[in-house]
Amino acid sequence: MFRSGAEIMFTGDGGAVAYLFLVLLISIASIGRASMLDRCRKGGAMGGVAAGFFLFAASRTIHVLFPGAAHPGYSAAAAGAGLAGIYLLMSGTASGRRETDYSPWNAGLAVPAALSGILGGAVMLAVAGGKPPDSAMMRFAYHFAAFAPAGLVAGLALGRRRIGAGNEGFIFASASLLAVSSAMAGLISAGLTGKDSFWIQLFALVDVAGIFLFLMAVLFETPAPQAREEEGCRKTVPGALPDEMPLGGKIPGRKMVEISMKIIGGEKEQAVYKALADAIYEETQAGFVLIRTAGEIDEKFEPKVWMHNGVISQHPNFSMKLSKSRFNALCSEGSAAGCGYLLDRDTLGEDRDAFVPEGVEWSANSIVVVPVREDGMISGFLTAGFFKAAPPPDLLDVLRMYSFNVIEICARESLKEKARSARKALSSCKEELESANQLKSNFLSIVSHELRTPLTSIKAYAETLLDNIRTIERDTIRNFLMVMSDENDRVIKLVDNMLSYSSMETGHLKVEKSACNLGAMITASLKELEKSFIDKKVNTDVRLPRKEVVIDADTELIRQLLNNLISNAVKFTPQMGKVTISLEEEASAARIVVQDTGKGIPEDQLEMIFERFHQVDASDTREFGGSGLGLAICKNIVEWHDGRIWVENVKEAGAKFVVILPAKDIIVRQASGPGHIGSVRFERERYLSLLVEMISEFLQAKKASIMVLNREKNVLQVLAAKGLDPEFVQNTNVELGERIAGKVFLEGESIHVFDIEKDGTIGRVNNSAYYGTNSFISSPLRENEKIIGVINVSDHVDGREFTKADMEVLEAFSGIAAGMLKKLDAFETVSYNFEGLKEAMKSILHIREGRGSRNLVNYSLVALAVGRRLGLAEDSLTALRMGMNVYDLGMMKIPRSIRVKKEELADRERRKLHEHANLGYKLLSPMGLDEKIMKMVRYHHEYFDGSGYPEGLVRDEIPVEARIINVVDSFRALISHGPYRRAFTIDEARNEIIRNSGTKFDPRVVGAFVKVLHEMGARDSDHELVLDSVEKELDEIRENNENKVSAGKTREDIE
Amino acid sequence: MRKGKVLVVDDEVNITQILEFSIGSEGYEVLSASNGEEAVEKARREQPDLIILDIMMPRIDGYETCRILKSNPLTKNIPVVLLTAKGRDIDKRLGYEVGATDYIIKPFSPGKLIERIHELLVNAR
Repeated sequence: MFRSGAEIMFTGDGGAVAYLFLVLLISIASIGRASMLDRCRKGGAMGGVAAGFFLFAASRTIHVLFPGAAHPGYSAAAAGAGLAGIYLLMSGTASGRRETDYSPWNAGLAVPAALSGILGGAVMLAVAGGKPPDSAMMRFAYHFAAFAPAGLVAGLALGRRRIGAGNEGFIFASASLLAVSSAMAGLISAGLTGKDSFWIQLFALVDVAGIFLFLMAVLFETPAPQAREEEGCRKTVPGALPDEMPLGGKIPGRKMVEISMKIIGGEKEQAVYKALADAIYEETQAGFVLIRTAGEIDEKFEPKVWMHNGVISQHPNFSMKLSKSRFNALCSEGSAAGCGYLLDRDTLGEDRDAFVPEGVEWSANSIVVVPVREDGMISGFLTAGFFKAAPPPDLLDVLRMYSFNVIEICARESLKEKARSARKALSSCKEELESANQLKSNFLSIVSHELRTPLTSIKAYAETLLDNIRTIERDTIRNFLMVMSDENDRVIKLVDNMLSYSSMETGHLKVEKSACNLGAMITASLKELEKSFIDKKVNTDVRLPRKEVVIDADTELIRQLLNNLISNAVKFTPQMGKVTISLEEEASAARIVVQDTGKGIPEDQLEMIFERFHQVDASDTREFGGSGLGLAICKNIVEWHDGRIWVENVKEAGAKFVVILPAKDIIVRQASGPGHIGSVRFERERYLSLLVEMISEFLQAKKASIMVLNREKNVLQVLAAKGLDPEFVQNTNVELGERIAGKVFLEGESIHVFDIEKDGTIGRVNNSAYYGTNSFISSPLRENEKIIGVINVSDHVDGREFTKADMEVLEAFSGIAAGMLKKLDAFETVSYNFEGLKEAMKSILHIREGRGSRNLVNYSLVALAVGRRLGLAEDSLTALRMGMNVYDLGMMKIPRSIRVKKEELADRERRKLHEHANLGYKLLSPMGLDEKIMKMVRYHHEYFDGSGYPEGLVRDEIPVEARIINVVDSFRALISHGPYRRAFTIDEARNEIIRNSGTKFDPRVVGAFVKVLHEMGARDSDHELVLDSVEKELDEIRENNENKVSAGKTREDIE
Repeated sequence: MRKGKVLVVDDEVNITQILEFSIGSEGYEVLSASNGEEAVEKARREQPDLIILDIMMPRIDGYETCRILKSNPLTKNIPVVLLTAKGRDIDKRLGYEVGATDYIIKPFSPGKLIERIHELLVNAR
């Protein structure tokens, strides 16, 4: 009996049993594996093939064991049908499980498989007629029928799949190898009758190899193609993301969409974050999940949700605040892993609290962090770790995918925020409108009353006169006419006030400045108002200085100011009361005080009374009439002169109005040119005046000037000057390289003369009119390295010499001044709006005025010394120098009632007070100062441990300059009288600073600060800081100045 | 013949002065007060035939003064004419509610005021 190679293999001694066992194994392994791996489609195909083999082998075995009991045709047909049936079943199941990947083609494969099997079987039965195969033709049919279905299915499958694209293809390849080689063996055995050939042996071996490969492929699952790509993500550059977000047929994709739906559906932010944390928890088996986000302008990431062991806490108690910059630094320290980072517990150091709150035990050493990126910006991050089971291989992608949800939430919340702020703006607009409306009603009721009263009198008197013209006595007529005339004046005054107020408000006021002798004007005002004093039996107490006080001001406006203030005082003083008027001259300003003995002003209205139409008592039963415009006009007049006005209550009784008017000895060179007319000219002069005022104030110089290059004539001309002769300002032309200014301009180096008298090379010539003392500084004015002019200062207010430190201040200031001049050009040419700039300048001047300049200078010196000790770079020191002058500027914007409140502040008031850091920042922003200075202003109340405001930054997130200012300012606050505690001594204050080192203050800064205090010989005198080293230095300068002259030219060079 | 006694109340001296003159020149006896308290006091003591009362006065306003006058049996029958710059309907109604007999708006014509005084005093008799 002829046997093929395959028959030798599978029907030899025990061969059939082995074959049966092998096929069984394959079937069970492939089906079991397939379902376990949830790869149903593959499982379907494999299961079908395996089952076909199984049925075929079973019928073959029966045929061999009991020859004649079954015909091979049956077994072939059974193989084909079984294959088809099982394949169909598995394919259907697979389709049911994964609707998304349903393909009728998969199911359709079963049809040709079944047909070929059944056809093969039918042919066998027809040809053999129930007998065993005995011819070559029969053997061929037999083999064809047996293997064709498997070969056909495998071939079709192969045709649809690329070989090598994962182990699915591999399984089909081996299965088809098996089938085709068996079919070939059948063909060959049919051709080579009666002999066991080499080819048949070979194909039998290939059969075995095919089965083996098939088995291996199923048992040792290799990652599918997608899985390999996912792994690739982890190997890419940090920050880079895979082009395509693989969803991989997984549930998270659906979860993500569900969360998106919640976001769109308007579910609350907290609920959405909770759902997000739940999804991540479920997906990754993470022990904790943390999501933090930060707004565009926020510096810090705020925790949004924290889930630990499946329990959500919406407000986790993180001791650590985490800024964006710190986060970036940490990520760069951690190991990059594709779209995320692995952060290590040890490298995180103390920052670990920012990810896992204190008290939570670290059950693993590292955590996974995936940043939320939007438009290239990191707007938040997701963190997971302490996994309870092996995390999925695509963990990073899962987190990254959910980060899209975070972006969605952030976008929605920011939209909501925008809507909220728009609503707020709208409601504040509404409030403003309402208050404007209220103001209008106030105006109408006040004006109608104020107008009706005199008009009523006039009408009544006039009519009475007319009615009784024949009978009335002459004296009565005179009396009546006088009343009418007075009442008429009242109307005129009211109308005048309204008109001048309106012109001030609309900015059409013409200010004509001239020398204004304040003492004489006060006397004149008193005379003008004499009648009201007598009528009301009010006494006056006038205290004028012996020396004339002359300021540069608009005489008519000052007269109006004085009249308003004095008549206001008379109005509120009871009979037999007293009005005190005093005038004092200050360093560069005049101070006018008008005090009455009335009942004072309620504390909460101290600032409001300067608002238009505001009256302390606006009721019908008010005792005092008036338009409610008087003080508003006063305030306007004072502000137009760049002065200040405020009111305070005097203890005994009465209110005290204080007016500070700057003694404007500043002269601005008249500009020529068509643009410089009207208000532009006026604005320009005011602006330049402020600039010169600032220079003189910063340097404490009585005389200061700004010179710029006139390009047409190539000479330096004075743009504006303080304390110099107008003639000189208008006509000076300095050739480049000539005199000191010209030299400074050409060489670009400051010249600093301690004492011109002691300078051998400078003879003391005339011109002494311009110089009270002998020390001066001249510094180049630079705009981006280009020298555009020169700043000069001389005559220190204290009569002392300028020091090297002063020169540094002037050099630091010249950069700012150049920037401001540039803005002036912009104003003149493109109508740059520099109202904000002027306000900032005025605020700086005011805050310096309030502080006491020596005190301020000493604190600046301490701050600088601390900076030097800490090894700060020169640009930092320059910034520190300027920053010390402006850091507290925002205080100007805090209501006085809060600033000076004696009791402890309420929460709302404290919040208001804390706003000053940001307000200062805002106020200064038009000045275009260095970023370092701006940060000092904003962050000077940030504490080292993050307990400060406004951002709650920690440690080196706070710029070092701000940390220095914080210590120095806290020290200053301690040794001056607090609103509700006594002043500390130097030692007490220092100990207090040391006590808070490491918590509020940077220990390094505190260390340097304590050393500096010691070295500089700090002591307190009347709650002010005195530095022995500075006092000593000044003494030494005076003694040794002969050897210290650093510039030498003739006296004439100065001008 | 005694034509009657009129009390004029206003915090503006100019107004009381001109009313004293013009009403006085018609033959009435004229008294004046510069605030509410003084007015109540004088009304009780002097028992005038008519009171001319301003509304906007410090401390006690005209409405309140009128109410006090009307609640006192000694003064409640004296007619009160409100003389005021407050000219809105609501002010007028408030005036009548507190018991005023008439309401004249400033600026006023003294001649017309005197005519009203004549009428009221004739009616009262």
